[in-house]
Amino acid sequence: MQKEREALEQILSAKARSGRCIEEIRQSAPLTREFVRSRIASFVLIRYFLEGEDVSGLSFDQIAERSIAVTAGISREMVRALDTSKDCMGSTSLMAKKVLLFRQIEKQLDIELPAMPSAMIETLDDLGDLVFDELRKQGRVG
Amino acid sequence: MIRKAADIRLKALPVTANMEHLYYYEGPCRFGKGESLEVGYDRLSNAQIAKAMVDRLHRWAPANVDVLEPVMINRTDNWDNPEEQWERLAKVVPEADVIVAHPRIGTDDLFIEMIERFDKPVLYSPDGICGIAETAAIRNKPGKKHVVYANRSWEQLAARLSAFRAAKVIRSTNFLLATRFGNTTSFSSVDSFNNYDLITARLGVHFRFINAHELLDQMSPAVEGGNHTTPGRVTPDLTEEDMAEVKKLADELMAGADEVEVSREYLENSLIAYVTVRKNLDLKDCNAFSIPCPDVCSTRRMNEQKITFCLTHSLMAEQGIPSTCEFDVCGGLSEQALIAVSGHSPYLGNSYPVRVRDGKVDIRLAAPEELEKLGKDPENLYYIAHSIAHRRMPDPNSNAPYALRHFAQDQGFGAIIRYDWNRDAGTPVTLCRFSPDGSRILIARGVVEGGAAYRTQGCGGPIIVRVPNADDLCDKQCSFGMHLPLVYGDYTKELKTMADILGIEAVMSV
Repeated sequence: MQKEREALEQILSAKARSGRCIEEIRQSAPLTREFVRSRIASFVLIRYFLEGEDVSGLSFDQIAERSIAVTAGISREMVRALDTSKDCMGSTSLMAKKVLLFRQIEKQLDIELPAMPSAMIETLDDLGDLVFDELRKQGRVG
Repeated sequence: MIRKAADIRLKALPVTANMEHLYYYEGPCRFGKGESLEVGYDRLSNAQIAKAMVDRLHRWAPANVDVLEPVMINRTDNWDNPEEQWERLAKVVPEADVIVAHPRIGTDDLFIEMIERFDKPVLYSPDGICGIAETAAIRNKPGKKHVVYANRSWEQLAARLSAFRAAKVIRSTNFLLATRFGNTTSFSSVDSFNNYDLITARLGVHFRFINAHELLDQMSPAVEGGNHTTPGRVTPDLTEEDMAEVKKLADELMAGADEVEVSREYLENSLIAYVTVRKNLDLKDCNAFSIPCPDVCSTRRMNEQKITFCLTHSLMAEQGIPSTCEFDVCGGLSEQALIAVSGHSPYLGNSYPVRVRDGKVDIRLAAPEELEKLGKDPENLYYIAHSIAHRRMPDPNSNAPYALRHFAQDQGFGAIIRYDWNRDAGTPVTLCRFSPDGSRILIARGVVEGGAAYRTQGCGGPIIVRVPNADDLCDKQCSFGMHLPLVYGDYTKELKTMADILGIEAVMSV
């Protein structure tokens, strides 16, 4: 019971802190690409419970894998080995984790990320760039 | 230009189909919880799945397969089917040889329509549930035969891509056929293709012809007024550049041989024949060759010019270009099939079970010690021999040891390469031959037992192959023909898959 309460508190705290990253994007003007990149990177690491971890050199997929590993209490290698298709369409837990994150960004920033470019991002900065480009299309970078 | 089998690439077009739900709900065939049921989730998730499939295709595609830019086709749970998508596909599908398809539940009908519209072969991706339902539906469509495969693994899909490429190689074969009399059979290979129109319709092969006399005329420098057979015409006669190449090849062949038993002059004559044939293949955009033996021999011109075409066939085979004696066009296409699936250089010869008489093996021109060695275990041995051995049997990229000898036993002309097959004892081999009507292919395997008559001149120098069942092979061979081309390695599975794709029956003797 105690562990569940702690987990819930962790989730709520992460939600609040990550929400502040998005709010900073919403409130800042003019927006620069570097600023959006840094806020999005922080958003991702908080949501993925990887705050304070050194993820330099890791691809976005590797960061998501590490997040699954941390939350499931297993190694990254185990994540890769176990993460076969979770449905008959070929989608995996890793894919779901990424899409849910993207959807949070879309909803909180009121943007629509382009589908295939979102699938092709390699790094945290790629995601930041995608977000910046969508905000710019909407005339919101100032 | 000579477009060799190795130059031919397969183009694979990945097509993924996506379903986007317009409302938040679940039910039979819609799974998920919370945010994954929200509008907008499918759009991003579909892209992840599509990219993962295309990434795997890039990883698994064999080296000679090009993966084209992927295409996504979409529908919503309104069950729409916009014509705009078909117009978009119509622009890119013609370039593809095969489509690699990844449908989603609720989009299978779109792929069936895609096949009906474009009739391209389809390989279903093994991601998801591998396409069994779609394949069964398409294979049972009335009125038309579509080529479609479900794949249970990426290994299987990759193997099928290779087989599709091999089928493309067959369909891309243009034969240059040198004839003296009719153009379908010669006085030696009565078991070759008997109807070129049928072969073209069935297998996509094309046939172009050159008069044997005109070809022989081109093996000397141009003369004033043109050659005898083509007066007043400019023809691709022997040039100084050709002779420079002849001399360079002669130097190379003589320097590299363990033994040389043909004169330099006669070696160069044979190489003149080779460069002339090769030049004509290049000019006529052909990538396979055949010429009859007895038909042309009896003109006496080969005797006068002191040539045979044996070395031509050997050197072509080394380069992965089918080239056959005795006007065995069927054997030539069989060589092409072996080259296509293996990347190796083929050999072809008279093929039949080694005879055992009075308990002793009977092999033409074999030395007593060779007969004794082979006689120790004579069961299921096959004799395969023509004097067109070459240096690249074990490795298509480097020369093995060889000897240079001569075909004509009286006058010593007709340079030939002799290869000591005993070096490769124990090596697996694959043999195959199309039927004369092109409706079937015989596929067999064996193991090199050794060779014989290495030190002799003339047509021969057999490879002896041990097959699983010589009686079975010979019985089946009687519906296909005398020559059984072979390559090193076991490619029987690949040939069988290629046959299935070509829509012909594979007759196995394995």
